[in-house]
Amino acid sequence: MIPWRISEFEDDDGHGVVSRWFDLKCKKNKGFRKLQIRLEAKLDMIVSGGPDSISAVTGSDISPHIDKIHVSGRLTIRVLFMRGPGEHEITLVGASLEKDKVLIEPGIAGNARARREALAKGYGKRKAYVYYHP
Amino acid sequence: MPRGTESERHMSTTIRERLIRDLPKDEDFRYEYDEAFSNTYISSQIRALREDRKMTQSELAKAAKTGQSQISEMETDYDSWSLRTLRKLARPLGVRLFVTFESWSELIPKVEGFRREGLLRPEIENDPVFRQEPTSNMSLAAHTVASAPATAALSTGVSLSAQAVVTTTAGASLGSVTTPYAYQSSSQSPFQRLPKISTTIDKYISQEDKWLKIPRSLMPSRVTTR
Repeated sequence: MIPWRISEFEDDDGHGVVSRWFDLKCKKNKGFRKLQIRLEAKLDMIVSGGPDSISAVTGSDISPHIDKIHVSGRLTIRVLFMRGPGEHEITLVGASLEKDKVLIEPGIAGNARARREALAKGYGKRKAYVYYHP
Repeated sequence: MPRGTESERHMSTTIRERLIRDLPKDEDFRYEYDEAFSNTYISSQIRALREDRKMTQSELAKAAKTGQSQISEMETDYDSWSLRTLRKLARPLGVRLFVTFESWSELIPKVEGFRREGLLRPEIENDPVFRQEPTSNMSLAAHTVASAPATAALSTGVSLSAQAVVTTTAGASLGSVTTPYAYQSSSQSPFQRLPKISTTIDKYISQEDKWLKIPRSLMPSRVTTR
């Protein structure tokens, strides 16, 4: 079986938007590092079995083309991703805390949609997801 | 080189290399990683098995005497498992629950080999080991007879040579499904009624300790020693 590639949308400064989001959050709250490790375990499962193999992936109400990965601990976060643009590839387009089933990161839905559209139309950049190393 | 093959090798190495490097470094890291993996694994397996059995969440919930919302929660992102709850799910899904402690090195191939298909388990009715077909019967019965004490075989009137044939048959049926009975190659074999005997043996074996009561009428009339 062909493994899946995990990419993330690259911002104007050349950072991956999701790994960067974790780095910034971790400066204020170390609990986010645990959530990042939990996310990465799920990403590894996606690499091996694809996004449909794990039940922590569900659709989102942001767009029919954007799904979310559920990651829970003391805090609850959702990591948004699109399938593609390459074959056997998913691209992470944003992350947000969730409270009462609502994503609370300002502008998350619009940003995720815009990033997906940029990648789909070929002018957005993406890079390999940057894993955390202890 | 085909892209998929190259990619496969690269990605597989990446997970393995990263985990071999990172797991020993930090205890919190490895327990956090494993907890997420284990939780997601069991959640995904519950969903995969339920879908394979063509059950809705409500049907599974009813059979397991729990609520649909709890099934939904368990299938999505759950970390408060109890053995009691998992056992309640095992029966309607037609599987058994087995919990073990594992070494850390065993985690790596589990992650690398994670597939939806790998989560599925047959129900006992569909498990080839328990299928009531001649080949399977032969294998099961022959295996059991072959491992029984020789004295027991003698007391039934089945000779040791018969036991040897059964053993050969077992080997043949395990090795090749298309050639269920090794002795078929010899039309002069005195064991032509062996399948019937095996079926009977199988039947008696299933009744625990009663398998010695094989009717003599079913025994080969003439036994030769090889």
